[in-house]
Amino acid sequence: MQESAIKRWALHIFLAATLAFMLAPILIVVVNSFNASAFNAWPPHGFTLDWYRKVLANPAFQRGTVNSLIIGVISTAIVLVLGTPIAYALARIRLRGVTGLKAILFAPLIVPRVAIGFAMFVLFVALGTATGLRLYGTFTGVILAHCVLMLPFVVAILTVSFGEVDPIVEEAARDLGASPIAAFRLAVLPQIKGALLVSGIFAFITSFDEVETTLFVVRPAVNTLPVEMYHFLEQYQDPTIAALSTLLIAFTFFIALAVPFAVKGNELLRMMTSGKQ
Amino acid sequence: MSAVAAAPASGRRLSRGARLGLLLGPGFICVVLPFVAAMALLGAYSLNLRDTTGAGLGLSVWSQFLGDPFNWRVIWSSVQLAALSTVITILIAYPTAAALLRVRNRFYLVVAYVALFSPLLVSVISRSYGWLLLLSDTGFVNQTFGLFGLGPYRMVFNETGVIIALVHVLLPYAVLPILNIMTQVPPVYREAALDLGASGWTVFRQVTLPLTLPGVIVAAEIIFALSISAFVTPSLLGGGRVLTLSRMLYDNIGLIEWGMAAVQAIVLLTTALAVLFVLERVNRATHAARQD
Amino acid sequence: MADVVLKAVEKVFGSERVVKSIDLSVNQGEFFSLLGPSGCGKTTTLRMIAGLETPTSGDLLIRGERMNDVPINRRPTNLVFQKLALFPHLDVFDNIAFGLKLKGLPRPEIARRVDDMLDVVSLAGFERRRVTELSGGQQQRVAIARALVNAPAVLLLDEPLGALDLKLQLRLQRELKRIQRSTGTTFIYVTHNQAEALTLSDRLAVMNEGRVEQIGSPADMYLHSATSFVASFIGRTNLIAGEATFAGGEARVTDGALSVVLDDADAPADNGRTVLSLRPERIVIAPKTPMANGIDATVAEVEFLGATVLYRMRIADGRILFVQALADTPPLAEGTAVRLGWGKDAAVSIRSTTVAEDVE
Ligand SMILES: Nc1ncnc2c1ncn2[C@@H]1O[C@H](COP(=O)(O)OP(=O)(O)O)[C@@H](O)[C@H]1O
Ligand SMILES: [Mg+2]
Repeated sequence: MQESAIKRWALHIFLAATLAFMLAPILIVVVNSFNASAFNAWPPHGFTLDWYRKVLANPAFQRGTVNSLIIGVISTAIVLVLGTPIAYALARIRLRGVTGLKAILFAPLIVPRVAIGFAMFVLFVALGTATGLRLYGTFTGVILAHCVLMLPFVVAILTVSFGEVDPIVEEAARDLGASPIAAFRLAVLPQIKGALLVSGIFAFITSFDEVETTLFVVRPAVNTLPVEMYHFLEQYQDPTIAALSTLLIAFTFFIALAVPFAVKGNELLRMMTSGKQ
Repeated sequence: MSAVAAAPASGRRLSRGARLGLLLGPGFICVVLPFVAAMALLGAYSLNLRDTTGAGLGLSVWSQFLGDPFNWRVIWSSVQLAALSTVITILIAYPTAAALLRVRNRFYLVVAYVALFSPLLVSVISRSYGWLLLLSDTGFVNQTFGLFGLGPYRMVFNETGVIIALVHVLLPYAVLPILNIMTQVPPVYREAALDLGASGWTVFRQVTLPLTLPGVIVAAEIIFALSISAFVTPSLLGGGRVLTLSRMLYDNIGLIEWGMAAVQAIVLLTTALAVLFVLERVNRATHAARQD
Repeated sequence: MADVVLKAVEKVFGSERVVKSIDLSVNQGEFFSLLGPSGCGKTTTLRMIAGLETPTSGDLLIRGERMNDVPINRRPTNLVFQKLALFPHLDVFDNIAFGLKLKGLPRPEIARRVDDMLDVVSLAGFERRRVTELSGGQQQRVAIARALVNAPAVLLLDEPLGALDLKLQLRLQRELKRIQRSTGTTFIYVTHNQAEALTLSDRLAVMNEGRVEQIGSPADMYLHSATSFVASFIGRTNLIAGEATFAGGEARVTDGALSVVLDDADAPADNGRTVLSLRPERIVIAPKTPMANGIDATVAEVEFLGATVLYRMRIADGRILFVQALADTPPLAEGTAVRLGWGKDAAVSIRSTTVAEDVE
């Protein structure tokens, strides 16, 4: 069908403008990380790598990076291990009361992260007083809070993928001599590799960038990198944060762009849409 | 249906309940239960469970919160801010999705997707910082305006900056569902309407828009929920001058007003749910209308 | 010797009795079919033998051992699924090798057996193809090879050719028969296609609404159908139901305008309601010599089948009688009035059960 050329051009120009809008704050951060002016003067006063030196020498950022990596890796591993069987059950076993179960499971997607953070903080403190269990301001506490945020996301993606694996291949594997666990490992798991990878990467990035919940449950010793950045930015606005951001952007883009090599683009898109319901 | 969680040693199948327990149990006990407990505790605290004033269990914090007109203003301005961000986001997302569907060049398409979804890959801190750089009085935007003898306009530490930064991060969440539904609307409908002599605008208003409306509503639900609960963006770009529910909650914890913070957290959640509920009703109604 | 024995096996889903007290005995090396219309419980029966369902009651024995509580992966059976259920993430070789790898056989042994099996199903050279790239017929062979390579005592097949076009079906039928003969494996074959069952089977069981109606060889089933259901499901027949009266060494069954005479030895001993099956090819059009039975009819419909012609003949009370004749003369035109006749031995008395729908 033929559309008017004007309409087509108008849409293309609109798209180009949107894309510029989307990239602008990211590009300016990258450019500004080399800005010699400590006051973000624009246009830049000259080229410098000083801000990168400052970032790399900053002990708070160093500690934050290590903490964030530890927390990100561990919580991603935990949600994958806990989320996979839940998704499998949701996709395969017909349940009464499944609506209620799902409502609770997916609630963290809707409850404001600030509220989750505060609620977890309250819980940690209460548990600490009642049982001596140390969660507030510990790795365990932050990891638990991140798992709460990431689990529904991982389960949503994996449930869709399990739903697409024909249950009959499991029966076939069993018939050929596989134990129930072997059937799952050999016949089902390989078919959801892509979804596991995608949900793992998104879970990791979520954890690695998370501020709003984390702010409530950390203490300085376990501050994650974004929390350190938040506090830094509340006080200073020199390009140190630009340099750090540039490094992080490079890092997350590197991880995320590795995904399309593992999964097809449209499949990725479908998974992302399904995860947002 | 075979069971993952059957006991291989005895060769006997586990009962359905045992299988479910093994599959759901660990995740629910380790992660979901703490979350539920935390939310329950939040409710309890809002009812004065952690009594510091000697008032005992009751609705005293609630009445204190609801009786203060200042709080109502904050709720109202939070809702306004979120609603405005939602509307602007949708207005940008809709034509963006339509344009994306018409891109034929593979490379451009990949670039477009990466650009559109880049906010999801960049820390909220970095994004907010980027907007501070762009929008500050001497930043890129105002400098550019200056070349034309315009401005400077004040765009940071007020609602303008907050909304711009929110729209930026919300756009991908809005584009996805709209794109999704647009690809599901068969072009034959539009073609048929055009064939019947309808003008392009009429086709849009009477065919395309109604058919894609459910996607728009889903998008609105998602981004309203996200924007009303946003915390970092309003904090950094508002510079403390844009007061939202989430910001107030954070401040109250600093002040150890936990009961009040709990009330605010619940109000925040309720507001988000209320709007979701309304939008879901609208969604049902349009679905029903289309069935007729 | 019996390879598979079912004793009073029942399966209940919820409140529905899907399989009702089935007794079966399948001999070693036999090609045995379960034939019946869709929904009669064939798949459920097969899945119980395979171990995918547990019988609600009754005993299931394979090679003399009670199997009710033996899990699927420990049974000496393998199943070719109706929907094939190939592993989409594995290539042809790895699909076929799946069961052997689970048994922990050494690699060279696995490679040898998979190669042999690829020859058997004529797929040599396809080892590294993805199964999703194969044609329907090739996928079917992979599914058969994947099951057969494990050298099961019993191979179970659930309508394995159902999704293929007719020509391919016929070719694979012959191949299946060849494979079964050359491996000597016991086959239990589920189908709703009576032609297929008659072609392939040494013996078959006809099922209807969860029950076995009759077990026997294809010829047995056709010539001595035990029930009206079997008679009309296997091939086509005319069913005649009425009171039998006996006089002078003859029995007479009257049903509307039809009155059939047969030897009283062929009729049930007692007077009463009797059902007869009169095969269409036993009816003669315009007999040259007088026959024991005769009736006037007009040609209502003509179906030219090649070697034979199938007529739907209308008799006085308006009912239709199927008549099949050799196509050695030009077919009669519709509306032609003819005399029909058949001998005393043409109609056989059968037990009445639910009549099968008119299936080709
Ligand atoms: N898992 C099940 N739960 C409930 N009913 C079933 C199940 N499997 C089969 N049935 C029912 O049992 C009947 C027989 O099914 P099936 O054995 O598949 O028949 P066939 O293979 O002869 O077509 C059908 O009515 C079917 O709906
Ligand atoms: Mg079946």
